[in-house]
Amino acid sequence: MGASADILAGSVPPGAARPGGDGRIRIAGISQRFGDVRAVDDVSFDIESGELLTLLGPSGSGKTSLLRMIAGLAKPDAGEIWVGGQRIDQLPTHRRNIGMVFQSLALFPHLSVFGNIAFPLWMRRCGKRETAARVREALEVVRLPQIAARRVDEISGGQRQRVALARALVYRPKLLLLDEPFAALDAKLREEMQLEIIRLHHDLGITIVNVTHDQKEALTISDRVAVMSEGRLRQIGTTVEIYQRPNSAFVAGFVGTTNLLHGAVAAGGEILVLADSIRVPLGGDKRLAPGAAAALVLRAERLTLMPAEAIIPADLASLPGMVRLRAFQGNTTLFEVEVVALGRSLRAETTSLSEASRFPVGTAVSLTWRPQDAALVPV
Amino acid sequence: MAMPDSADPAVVADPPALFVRLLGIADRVFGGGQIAMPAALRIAGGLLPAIIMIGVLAWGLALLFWYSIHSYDAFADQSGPLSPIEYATLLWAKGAGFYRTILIRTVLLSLLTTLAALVLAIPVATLIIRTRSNLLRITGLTLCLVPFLMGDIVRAFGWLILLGREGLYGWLSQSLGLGQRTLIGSALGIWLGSLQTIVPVAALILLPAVRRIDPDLEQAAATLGAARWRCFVLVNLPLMAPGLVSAGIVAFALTMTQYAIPDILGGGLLPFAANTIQNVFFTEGNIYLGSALAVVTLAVVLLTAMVFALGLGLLRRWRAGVQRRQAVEIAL
Repeated sequence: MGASADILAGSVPPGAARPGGDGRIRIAGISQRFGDVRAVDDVSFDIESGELLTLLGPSGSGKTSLLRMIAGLAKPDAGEIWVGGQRIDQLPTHRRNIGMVFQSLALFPHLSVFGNIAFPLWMRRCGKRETAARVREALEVVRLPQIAARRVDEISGGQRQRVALARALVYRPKLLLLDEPFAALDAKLREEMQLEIIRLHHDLGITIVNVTHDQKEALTISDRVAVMSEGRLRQIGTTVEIYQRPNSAFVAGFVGTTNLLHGAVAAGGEILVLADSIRVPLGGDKRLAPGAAAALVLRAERLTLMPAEAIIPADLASLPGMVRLRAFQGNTTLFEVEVVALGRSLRAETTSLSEASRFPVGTAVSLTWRPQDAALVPV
Repeated sequence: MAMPDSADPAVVADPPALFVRLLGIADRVFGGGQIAMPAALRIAGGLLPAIIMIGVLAWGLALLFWYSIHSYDAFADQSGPLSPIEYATLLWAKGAGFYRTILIRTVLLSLLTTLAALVLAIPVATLIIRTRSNLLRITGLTLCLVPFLMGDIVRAFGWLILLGREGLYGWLSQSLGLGQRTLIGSALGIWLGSLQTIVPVAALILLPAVRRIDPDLEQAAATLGAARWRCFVLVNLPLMAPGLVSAGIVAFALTMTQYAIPDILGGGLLPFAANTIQNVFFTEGNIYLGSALAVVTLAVVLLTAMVFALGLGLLRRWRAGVQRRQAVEIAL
């Protein structure tokens, strides 16, 4: 994963100029309160034209509130929202010209597939011929010709998703908002729709803001990810940055299968002291002052199991442990290794079947990692 | 079946035990217990009260119809031969204008009341369904039910006070320098009085139709470029249509058959069909003409209901047809 992620990082330069019009977005100081609760708390960031940004966070993190404010379905208490150089937070929803796919899809049950997709064109008073041509084009874009005459309750779940997408794209908005439209799908269909979004995004060059609580989806489809919790923006960056250089224990814990080791920095920032004076070396360029409380971010797939009796190379960090659980997951095998010295278990993952078979439950092992693969975050 | 038991002194002396035993027998007969009964018979047993009710009603209606197709021998005060004369008197004979006026008034005011009630019921039902405040919802529902908790007469007299020369309306008109006016005896007065009961009925019937409309649909319509009113016309209204038709049919039937409101608020000047039926039946004693008038009223209600329902069906077919044609066009 690590190596391929590095390659991917170069292939999608965030904010690269793309066709599709000026879909720059500026979120400036947006806040929204419900009584004493700050649903969204002073959030600011920019989105480049043609970028696919995912708002990622647990439920109640404010990501959906923020999306609804961009769409005009909710009003911010403070701040400004700009799309393509125009301030839109004062405009009513129907004048914003933004496409949105709802979690419920919100297809009109009294209209056919054709009627649903034609609806935004009716609102824009398109002529009959143009409406027909553009509905047809939109159906081709989502690869669903031939179903225009169907009723929306006669088509499959995946087809409904595509119709909702076609309806939100047919009037060529500069910005498409996705409010967890795939959350209710089964895993296979969800994956298919995610790939569909990547393809559409690439073909149309439209700016997309996606909301999800699924970190895997966020990493799969996004150019950049904005991680939110408790109404605040925790970190925004490319998927690789978010994954490899989380800025906080929250972001590190939310994205990926992660072990967080809490401790105190010592020896000029080169050593982290864990419980009971267990010391592990720190790598990488990020240094914290000695004495600072910190957490080491150990991704499960960066941990390697070695037999306890093996000699550990000098450039690796290690902790002694005992395999407590081994779970074959198809492409990977997950281990839970109990580290008695720390009084807890760590998770390790390997893609190698032969390696996995060497460590049945009960084996004494050393958990090893390269210090530069483990990010250090303040706590 | 309970006969052998009735000789048992213990059972007779103990009414609760007897009751329990009777319940047991009923259970065996109707509940499919030990005494086997064909399923059809059991279902018929359960529906018996309803069948009796409908039977009595049907019998009464048949009798009304039977009377209505006879002439009335006023001299002998008895039924004459079979004849369409009563209908002629009401509808097309010379001098039928009197009854025609009453029928037209009843139908027109009922249509106006129905229309206004539907228009007013939509926001009421929407508020009750969509409000986040439970207090508001319960208050709304209660206000919808209150008019039914008081009698027709009490309600009508309440309006009499409000709309009369000495009432609120008279006082208002006088304060505005228009002289002491009254709405009693006017169509407007009857219309207002009718709306008080018909609006809540229409709103209550609309509730389920409004609840079925996913609020996301309105938000989706807004993001797609629909202003509030276009969303209402193109999304809410079509989705509410079946509820509106039901509410409309009930509202129309209830207004068409009103008695107390036109009687009291019309000041006797603007009788509805029901007032006239009462008059013909009991004052003139002509049950044959009265029956014919009742049958005509019923026919108008049924026909209107059918027109409402058919109209909805036709509208939907037309709309589906238009969409299908457009869809077929782009498939070519």
